[in-house]
Parts: sequence; C-alpha cells; structure tokens
Amino acid sequence: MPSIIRMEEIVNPTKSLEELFENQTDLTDFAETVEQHFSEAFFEATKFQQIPVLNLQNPSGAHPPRGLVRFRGMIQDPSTSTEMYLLKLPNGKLGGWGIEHPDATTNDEIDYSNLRECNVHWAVNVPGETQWATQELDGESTSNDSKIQVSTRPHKYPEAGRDHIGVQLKLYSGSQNESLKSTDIATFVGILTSEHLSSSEAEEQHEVPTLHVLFTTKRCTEVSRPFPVSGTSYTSETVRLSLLRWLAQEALSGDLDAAEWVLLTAIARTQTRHPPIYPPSLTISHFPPPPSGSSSQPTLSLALSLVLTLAHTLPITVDYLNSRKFNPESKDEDLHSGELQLPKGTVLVVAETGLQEGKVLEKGLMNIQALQEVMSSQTLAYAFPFSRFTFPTDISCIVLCQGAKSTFFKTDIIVPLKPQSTEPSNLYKSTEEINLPPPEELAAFRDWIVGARSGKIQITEDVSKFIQQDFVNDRKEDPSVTSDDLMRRMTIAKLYALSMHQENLTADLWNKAKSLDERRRLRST
Amino acid sequence: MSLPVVNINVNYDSELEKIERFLSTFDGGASDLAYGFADLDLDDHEGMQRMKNLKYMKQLQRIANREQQMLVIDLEDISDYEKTATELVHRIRTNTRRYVQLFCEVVDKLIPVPTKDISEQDEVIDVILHQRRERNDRTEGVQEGFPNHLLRRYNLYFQPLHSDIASAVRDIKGTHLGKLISVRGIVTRVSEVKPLLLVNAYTCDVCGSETFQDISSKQFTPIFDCQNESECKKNGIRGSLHMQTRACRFSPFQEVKIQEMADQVPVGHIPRSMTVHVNGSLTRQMNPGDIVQLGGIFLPVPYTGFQAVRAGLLTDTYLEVHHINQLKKQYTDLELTPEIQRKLDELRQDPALYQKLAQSIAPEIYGHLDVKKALLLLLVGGVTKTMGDGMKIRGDLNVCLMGDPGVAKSQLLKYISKVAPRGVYTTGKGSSGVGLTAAVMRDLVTDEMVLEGGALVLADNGICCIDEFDKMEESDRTAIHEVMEQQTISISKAGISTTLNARTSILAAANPLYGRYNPKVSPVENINLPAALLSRFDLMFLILDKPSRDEDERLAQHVTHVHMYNAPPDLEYDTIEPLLVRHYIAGARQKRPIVPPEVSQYVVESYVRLRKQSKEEEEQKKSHSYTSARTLLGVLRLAQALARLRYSDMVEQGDVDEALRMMDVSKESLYDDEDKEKDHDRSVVSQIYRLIKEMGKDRLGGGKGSGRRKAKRAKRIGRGPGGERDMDDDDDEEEDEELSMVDIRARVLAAGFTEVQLTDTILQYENLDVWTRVANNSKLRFIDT
Repeated sequence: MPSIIRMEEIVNPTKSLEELFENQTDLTDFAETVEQHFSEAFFEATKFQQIPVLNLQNPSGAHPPRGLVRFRGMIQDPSTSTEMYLLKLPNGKLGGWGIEHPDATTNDEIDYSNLRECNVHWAVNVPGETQWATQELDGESTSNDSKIQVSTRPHKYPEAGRDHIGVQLKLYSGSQNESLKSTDIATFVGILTSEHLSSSEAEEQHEVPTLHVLFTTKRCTEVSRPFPVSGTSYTSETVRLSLLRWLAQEALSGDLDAAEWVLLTAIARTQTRHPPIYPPSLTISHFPPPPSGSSSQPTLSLALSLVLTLAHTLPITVDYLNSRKFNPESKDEDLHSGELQLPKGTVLVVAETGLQEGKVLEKGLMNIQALQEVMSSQTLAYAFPFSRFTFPTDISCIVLCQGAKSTFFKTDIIVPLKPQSTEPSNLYKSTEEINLPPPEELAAFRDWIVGARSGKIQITEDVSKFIQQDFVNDRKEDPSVTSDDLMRRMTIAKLYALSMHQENLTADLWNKAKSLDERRRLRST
Repeated sequence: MSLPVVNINVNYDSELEKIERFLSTFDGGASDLAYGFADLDLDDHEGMQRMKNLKYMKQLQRIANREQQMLVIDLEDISDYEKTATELVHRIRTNTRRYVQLFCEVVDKLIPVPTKDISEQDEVIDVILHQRRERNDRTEGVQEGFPNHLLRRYNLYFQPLHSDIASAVRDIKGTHLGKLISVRGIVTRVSEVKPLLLVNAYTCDVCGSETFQDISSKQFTPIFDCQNESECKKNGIRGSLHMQTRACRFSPFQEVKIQEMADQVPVGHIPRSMTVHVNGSLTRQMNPGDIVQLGGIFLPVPYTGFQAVRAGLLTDTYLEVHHINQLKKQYTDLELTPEIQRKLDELRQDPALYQKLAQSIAPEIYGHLDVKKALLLLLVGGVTKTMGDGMKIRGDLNVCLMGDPGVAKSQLLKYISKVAPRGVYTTGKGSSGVGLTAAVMRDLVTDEMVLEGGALVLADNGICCIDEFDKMEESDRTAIHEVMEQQTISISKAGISTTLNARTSILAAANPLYGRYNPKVSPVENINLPAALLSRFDLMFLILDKPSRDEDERLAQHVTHVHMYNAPPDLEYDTIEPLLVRHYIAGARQKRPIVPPEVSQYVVESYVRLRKQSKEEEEQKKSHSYTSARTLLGVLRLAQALARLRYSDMVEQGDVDEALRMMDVSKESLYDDEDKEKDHDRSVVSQIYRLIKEMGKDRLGGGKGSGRRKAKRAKRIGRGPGGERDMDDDDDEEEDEELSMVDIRARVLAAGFTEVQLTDTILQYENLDVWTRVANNSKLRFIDT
C-alpha cells in the first residue's frame, strides 16, 4: 500500500520520523538513515510532485505548521557555524528536526553522547528564475492567497527590494552539506517551521522560516531539454530562424544579426576554468535610450525571460551604481548578498541606456570593477573582514549602451545595432505589447535554447587542421590578426554550432561563423 | 558522525595524587633560573634554596604573595614528568574542564603561606580575601567556611603540546566537545571586556550572615530568602538578602570572533567563524586583524528559556581559550614536510635546474624562456645590504615587460603575484582611492584614522606586479621612483607625515605608445616611459607579436587543442609544481652569496667593456638604452640571484656570464629582428659548441702546463651544483682530448640549454667532422686539435 505511506509522510512527516526513530536500534548514522528513507519514499516522480511547494505563490504562511514542503533554493550563506542538538532527549524521545521539547529545563543532565551536529545554511528562492521555468518546475500554482510575508532579512537576497522567500535550512546529514556552496541550487525537502535565527545576537530575536531538511535532491532544480533536439515537427533551421526573427522583430527593431549575437551569448556557458573558456560578453552599442515616459526596461530582457530559465536585468544608472552593492559582503558574521550573487547559468542584461551624467562614488567604482571581473574572468569577490575571497561565477552578460562602446565595461564582442525602424519605443515595449508566437512555437523556442545550453561540441582533427591553416593564411594576409582573434572566433564558431544544434563543428559552420564575425567587424568600422 | 562515549574508569583520587606529586616536585630546569635568582634577592626563606627550581611551587608562592595571577600548566612539562604523553596528558586533553577543577583543588591544598603580609597597597579584593581566609581559619570545624573558589585569586590555564597541529574552524566537529584543541584563524571582532559574575554574595538584613551562590551559566535566579541555618531558618524568619558587589567574585570576560584564513578554506567555500570566550588574565590580548593560534576547550552551551523550548535542546558551541599564540603578520604557510624536503634535495641535484625552474613559471604560456628566466631571478632576488651609515643598497630586482597587447604579459604578472610569498597584483590605473601608495582612511572597526598601505606597502618584502604601467597616474609614478631605488614611501596626508618601508621588487607590464609597437619609429619613441624610470629597471623585455608561419601554426594548434578537449595540451617538458617552486625560492632567498675578488675583477672588466660599447653605439646613434652605474649594480644583483639559485654562498664567473647574457638579451629584444638574425654566432648550436670547446681547452691547459690543480678547478666549475661525480676524475686525466659526456651534459644543462639542443649540436658538428663520439657514446673526442 505505497500510496498510504506516502500520504502519511506528507500529512504528518514528524510522525513518520518518530516511527523511524523507534524502529532504529543503532543511532550512529540516524541522520543518514532519515535521508535514505525519505528520498526512497519519494523516489517516484508522481509522489515527488505531490509534495507541497514552498515558493512565492505559496509562502511559508500558506503551509500548515510542521508540514512537509519542497523548496527549490539557492544557497546564499553557508558560513553559519554548526549547531548541536540532542538526538535522544532525556525522556527517550527523538530530538532535532525542530521537534519541540515540552518540558525543557536547562539544568537537565544532558547525555553528551547523544549530541549530534547539524549545519545551518541560509537559502533564498532562485533569483532571476523566469516565470515559465518556475511553473514548469513547481507545477501549476494551486492556492493563491498571495499574502507574501515581508522578509525580515531583505539583505540576504541579491535583488534588493524584491519580494522573495528566505529560509533557514538545517541540514542534519553530513553528506548533504559538504558539497553545498554559495549560489548552488538544489531542492530541499523537509519540515517547515518557524524558529529563531541560529547563533544570532540577542537583540535581533525574530523568527524566520526554518526548513528541517530530510533530504536534498538535484531533481526539479533546472529545466532541462535534450541536445540535439529530436522528434519535433520543426526542422532545425526553421526553429532557429523563426526564433531569431521573433527576437529581432520584438526586441531588437528587426536587426537579425544582433539577434543572432544575443542568441549566441545566451546559450554560452563556462566550459572550463583551466584553461579559461568563458562565455563571451556582448555589447550592443548604439542602442537608443528609452523615450521619456516609457519604462526603462528594454524589451530584450522581457523577451529573453520568455525563452530562458534564468535571466536578470541590471538597469545601470549613476544612482543605482552608487547605492546598490554588487559584491556580497560579510558584516558581523552575516553574509549580506550582492546583486551579482546569482546562480550559475544566469543571463544578465546590463542596460546602460538610462545613464545620465553624475558622479560615480567609490562604491560605484567597486561595483563596476566587480561586474567587469565577472565579464572577463567569471569570478566574484566576496568581502570578508580583513580578507577577500573570489568565487567562480557563470554569468553571460549582454550590455546595452547608447554610444559606440559601453561607458564602463570592456566586453569581448561589440555589435552596433542597426534598427530597421527609427521608433525607439519599439525597444521598450511592456510585456503585454510583445507579440507572442503561438504556444507550440514558443515551446519549441524554449526547447531549442535550453537544449543548446546543455550541448557539448566536438571538433575533429580535420576541422582543427582546417582552422589552423585558415588562421595562418589570415595572418599572412593581415598581420594585425592576433591570437585573441583566433580564440574569439573559436568560441563563436562553437557557439554557432551549438545554436544550430549540431554536435560537430564543421568547416562550413566555421566559415559561417567567421562571416558573421566579419559582418560585425564591418559594421563597427 | 556520532560523538564519542567516554567510559570513565578513572580513579580521580589517584589522579589527584598524581597531580599533587607533579606540582610539588616538578623541576623546571635551568631555564627558570632567572626566577630563582630573583627569589634569592627577595628573601632568604629556609626552604627557598630547595624550591628554587620547582617551577610550579615557585609560582604558587608568587600567587600566595599576590604577585601573579596566571598559572599556566604546560602539558609538555607533564609529559616530560610522566615520560609519556598518553596517560595523564591524554586524559587532560580529552576531559579538560574536569582537570581544571582537579588541578585547582590540588593547588588550593598546596598553596603555601604568603611570605608577604597584607598591606595597604594591596587591592580591596585581596584585603577581603585575606579577611575571609582568616575567618575560615577561626571557624574551622564549627561552621561551613567560604567556598574554595571564592578564595582563589589565580586563573589556571593549560598550554597545549607543541606538537598540536592547529586546525581550521570548519574541522572542529562535535567530536571535539570537551577537548583541548588548537585552532588558527584571524580575529574579526572583539567585544568589550565585561565583568563575569562567578560567585554572587548576599547579606541578610536580619541576621547579617553572608550567603554565597555559585554562578555557572549565563543566566541565574537570585536567591531572595536568607539561607542561614543557625539564625533565620531556625527562627522561621524570612530575612531578605541584598547583593554585595564588593564581596562577589568577578572575572574579566571577553567574547571574540575568529574566522578561517584563506589557506584553510576549500576552493569555492565561504570562510566560517567561531565564537571564542576569553576569561581572566587572557583578556585584552587580541585585536581585530590579528592572526592567532588558540588553544582551548571546545564547549557547548545549551539554549536557555524560550529558545530552548522551541528549538528542542539545541546548543551553541564556543571555545574557552587557555592559550593565545600571536602569529606574525607575515606568516606564510610554507610548512616544510619531509616529503618536500626530499623533493627539494632531489631538485638541487638536477643539473638542468635553472632551465626547469624557469619553464615551470606560467607553464601554460608558450615560449618566452628568457623572460621566464628573468622572472625567476626576480623571485629569487639579490642581496640587500645595509651600510654602517644607514645607507641601503637594494637587492630586489625590477623587471619591466613591454609589448603588444595579447602576448600574455598579464598572465605572467598574475602568475608571479600568486607564486611570490607576498605578491600583490594591481593595475596602474588604480582600482580605488587607495591606489599604489598609502592612504589615510577611517578604520571601520575602531573608527579612528589609520594609515592604510597601498599595493606597494602591502608588498613589502615581496613583489608588486603592476599591469598597465604606462597608464599610471603621474603622482603614483613619482612614488614609484622613490620605491624603486630607496625602497621607502613618504607620505604626508591629513596631518600624518611618515615614511613607510616598501622593500619590494617591481614587475611592471606596459603597452607601447599608441597601443601597438610601431616598427617605423625608434624603440625609444615606442617605449612610452621617462628615462629616469627606465634606468631603474634591471631588466626590460620587449615582447612583440610578429607574424611568422611556424609560430602562428603552433599558436593556432594550441588554441584549437584547448577548444577541442577543454584542456591544455600536454607540455613537451616536465614542470615543477608551484608549491615546490615556492619552497625552493624561499630556501634560496636565505642565502647571502658574496662576490670573491677574482670574480669582482671580472665584473669590473665587463663593466668597462659595456661602457665602451655603449659609447660606440651612441656615436652610431644606435643606442636605445644607457649603461650607467645602475647597470653594474644590476649585473651584480642578477649574478647574486643566480648564485642563490644554486644555493651557493659564492658568486662564480658563470653567474656573471649568465647575468651579462640576460642583460644582453634584454637589450637585444629592443632591436629589430633583422639585426638579430644576421648574428649567426648567437645561435644555440654554436653557443653550445663554444662551451664544449672551452671545456676541451681547459682540459688541455690543465694536462700540459700548470699542473693538475688548475685542471680540476676548471672542471669543478663546469660541474656546477651536480658535483657529485668526482670519482673518475683521475682516470680521465691521461686522455686529454676526450671529454666525458656526463660532464658535458652537466655543463651544458647548467648553462640553460636543453638535452635536445645538446644532441643537435653534437650531431651537427659530428657531421662536420669536428669531433666524434667514442667509448659507446659516453665520451667525445675532438678530431682536429
């Protein structure tokens, strides 16, 4: 009767936890036993889907106390020190997992051999996750009370001022926590309670949502699509082309080449760190400023969030630079988030178009430096007292700027925009004004992009020889071609092949990619 | 995961005896003699003579005399005394809190009668203690006296064993609870020192008797009713109690946070911190920013009150400090393990060491061997001398790399800044207000003005790598002038005027004027830096990006390989891992080689020759650089660095030759390629040939003329560091025209050539019938001499 067990575990997880405890004689690895038991119980996808979701539509208030929830979150702060708990209470009952101890007298003699430790992390809902991705991963939102509690710790979320869910995680099993790093995404299944902040100073004693994790899984953390795409009614060329057309038409004033560059940047991921092969950063220059009165959010970021899973926009203005914090910073043993503490695989649109004259202060300069570092070396420095630590990131950046090049940032590729219409308002349409393609076509777009992001590309010996020869010939004709050009072209050609959903880089694709790059160069001059 | 269950089958009575025996008879040895003499002066008590060497008894006497507050029990002493570290020492380390109590009990028993009487100079608390003790004596047996710890005026601490390895914060787990552990970290926050109540004292307003309450946790419930059995309780009166602050016992208390250091955090993780409690005399010894190694007990503290109800008996943990060891600020984690030592020894035997070390610098960057050699010498550095009159001669080398964009200058710089013990990487544009020189800033923690060192000051005794040197601000560049020769920075800002040390090597990278090197104008015009600054660089390399078929092909191959396999291609040569390089350089830097007279003569001759050459060039208007006294010092520095690299205390002629060659190469890189190619004599093959020929000449001279001694000496020089194979020396002596291949290889590799180049040379000249290989290819014979 598996369905009954499952229901029991969802309705009253505490009870099944206690039952598990009573049937256990050897308590040495109890936390691991719990992890194993629950992950097996929810192994089937149908059962897993039935676990209530903790998200913005269903915040912690919408769940019963001590109810079982699953929460897809980004680790924001894994630096909190560990906590000790009594696994076996003096009365012989199970402790830990937030189980209340009705007669807690502190002077009870504690049997120290029953003390276990658990790790305390802070997690937030995934920043930059687009709406459709949330829907696909969490299923259709059922209840919609939408009474989002104001988070008591807004400084722990990268997008300052946005509604979000922050949860204190308590990880009991040793295997769960060692691998979790900052900006990692995982799905946590556990018992939701409300507790004091662990090891906080006495003056800030407010309660925060706390998830006593039963098991952690990578399931349902990312939208995934196969590469190369197969079995759709669309043939490869047509999907790509209609995607480019749609992107160009809706967000880039009809500039197909620019749309192609955006697509290439959007599917780029960090390949290796040693030697460094990072996603190229892109500047779309000569991007008209928003007409007065309309929103400063470029349509491009809205359009991208319709097809990508993780997309975020930074509207750069002097004020924004001077007031926000891009780097995470640790203050009083509490890691405050920064705008760039984003999960791996985020596509970041940096909209410089609203920039006005002003004075960039030191904080602004630090922010510029931080973003530049993300673009050029895919690292982000976290500030700690007396030291700085750099952490790897994987963020593809698209800069939109008014001039011939970005005011602040140096990018690998600069593409001047050639708008077909001179009406700048086309570039700043709101979500409602975007002409959506038919649903099945939109789904095909998403399959296409998400699939391409996960693809791997092969280069055969022959093609490699061909490229080498090509480079040597180019150098002969034009000595100003440098190894940097070759490296950039290699990256572009690989992305081009990926965007075609091809598994191999061919000479033909190389030439096409090269001519795309050549067209771009001609535009710039 | 589970915590250890301690089976306590320890007989604490016998432990008490053991402790008593240890404390009363441990002989501190000669090291404590100074104390002994001091005591002798003080007074000649009868037992003093005997007690003079009893380390702990002597301290107890001082405690009794109210002259000492801290009693530190060194676990090393116990381990010496017991001749083992397993018995008592082990039990102390695993159950420290209990043993603090046991030791205190013994100390209370052993504490001698004060030899000094109480006087008006003593503190109030001491007077009260004195009164109490007297009362305790009077009421002996009649009435319950004062609790023992109320009378204690010492803090007992354990000092961990020297062999204890300091762990990182994240390695401290639940299994360490109750144990004496060592942790290393950086202090990030320090609270004020607050009084911590240990014993609360009350007096009854009815009967006047004193009541004492032990406080062991953060919170306690005060007693309200008089507990006096003989008065209030007997009479059924509920006398109310009043707290007496003066009679209470307090201890200074401080809460400190420490954080893991960069080297303790696994890659990609966030440093963790730990709460540390400091009591008694150990307070006020740590400041934010200090790097400390702490010994202490790892303890849990249960949540109390409401929090405990909700959280279900969770506990916080903290470290109760017993011992503070302040580590030096420039602490480097270069720990010499036996394995590394073995590898280093092996490395030192390698004749091709110079080459190998140079190749190991930024191995992923192709070619540029001479530049890498220069960087290696930069890492090693020359010897800094301070003259009697306070004048200093700089030993640090300064190197400038100049070249087209995209020739991996920045990568080289970054590599060096990582490998160097105190490397700082910065760009000339300056990242923020602090910049290259120092700035006056408001400290966030203490809120006072502090002088904050810029990159140059931070790199004191290290290497400062400055990228985009040409784009540096004028003010910073002026400061660089001072740093590069005087090695100091003068500041006068916000009322603070001072000179900071900046004993740093400068590694600069610059782009030519207008971005790319323009071959149509002269090098001087391309190099966009003032001559005064240029002359301060010992070596300067111009790295140009010129299209050449071979190079281009190789480069394209490299790039495509990287993209094909997402991994760098395997290197054609083996490299030495960075850690080993760092160790080797650290060892080399400890040498202080000197220049012997005959070598110094050679240097003088070379300098004179250089000056002459420079003059000639100037007349021909071909000169791009200028030979000055600074050049001479530069040659000496380079030669010293080369000697250091051999772990030698003596600069040899070969070192000077190589130094001159480096200078030459550095200068030559400024000329056009065409000039270089004409000079056939410079090819590798002919250089090796000349080297071997010279060896043959030495041998010849030695055999025929001035006797064996000279011949041997020449050979020794040839062998360089690999001078172990001296055995067959005398056998060879007869066959004058034959050279051992082993010797040749050692000499050629030591001069910085590769095996392949050597084989090439031998084959080429063999084909020309200049020499031939004999004795199964182990010897080389000149055919026509």
